[in-house]
Amino acid sequence: MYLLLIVLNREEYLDDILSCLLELGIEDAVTVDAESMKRSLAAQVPIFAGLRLDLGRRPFSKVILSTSNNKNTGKEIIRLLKEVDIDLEAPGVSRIYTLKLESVLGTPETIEEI
Amino acid sequence: MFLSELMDERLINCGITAKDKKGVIEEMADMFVEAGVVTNKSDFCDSILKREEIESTAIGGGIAIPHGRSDAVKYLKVAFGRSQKGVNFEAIDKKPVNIIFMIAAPSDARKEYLQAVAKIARLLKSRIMREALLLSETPKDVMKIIKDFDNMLAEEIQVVTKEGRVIHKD
Repeated sequence: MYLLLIVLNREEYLDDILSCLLELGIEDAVTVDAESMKRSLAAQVPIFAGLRLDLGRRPFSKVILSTSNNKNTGKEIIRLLKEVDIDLEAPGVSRIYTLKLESVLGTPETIEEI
Repeated sequence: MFLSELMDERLINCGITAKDKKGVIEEMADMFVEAGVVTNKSDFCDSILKREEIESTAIGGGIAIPHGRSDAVKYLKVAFGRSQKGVNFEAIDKKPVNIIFMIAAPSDARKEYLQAVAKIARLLKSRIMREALLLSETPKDVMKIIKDFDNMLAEEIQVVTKEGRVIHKD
């Protein structure tokens, strides 16, 4: 079992990634609001205030956590979205981590569409 | 799951004539009935309209993906309809809808049903695919486009469940 951790700096792709997870049969995912290092430095560390010029009105980041039995799920998501012209590998768009899990406890929520 | 496995030429109508949302849903439901997928048109249409009441499945850009689960559906299938003039489907962008993918699923279909909805939504994200579908003239043309979309994947992504957990193909 693997933990798929996606740090997404382009919030507008969140629904595409979640839809992709559904398409791959994954329903056990959670989304967390996050702030990129760049934004944090720009906002909270005065010496790096210059970074604000580069941030513009970019929204905050999202972190998506899910589990999968396939270590290639991250690659599958990248491939599926490239087919529709969304490049998660473009600079600054996302980072996708796949970590081996020791165990997973609890029962996931099931998603029922009407 | 390949989208082409959920469709066939009997479920494709490149010349939808209905002029409103309810009319389109009924016209497309007729295809499911004639193909033996739906056993009760009225119950099936009710399931589609029930979903539409929550929020329109016309997600903008001239496309709609009405879908519903019902006891009147024997197996999961997808129908395609194209309206040349466009239909008011109460879209989120207020524009008329030209491309409709309708999904019929049995009441107990869950994961495959979600996957079908997600797959079609992703297909229609592609401008090239949308344009090709708008230009297609026959059911054969549409099936070729769908098969081309399926073939973009190097190998089928299989989903198997064990004790309710998803196990992907390694």
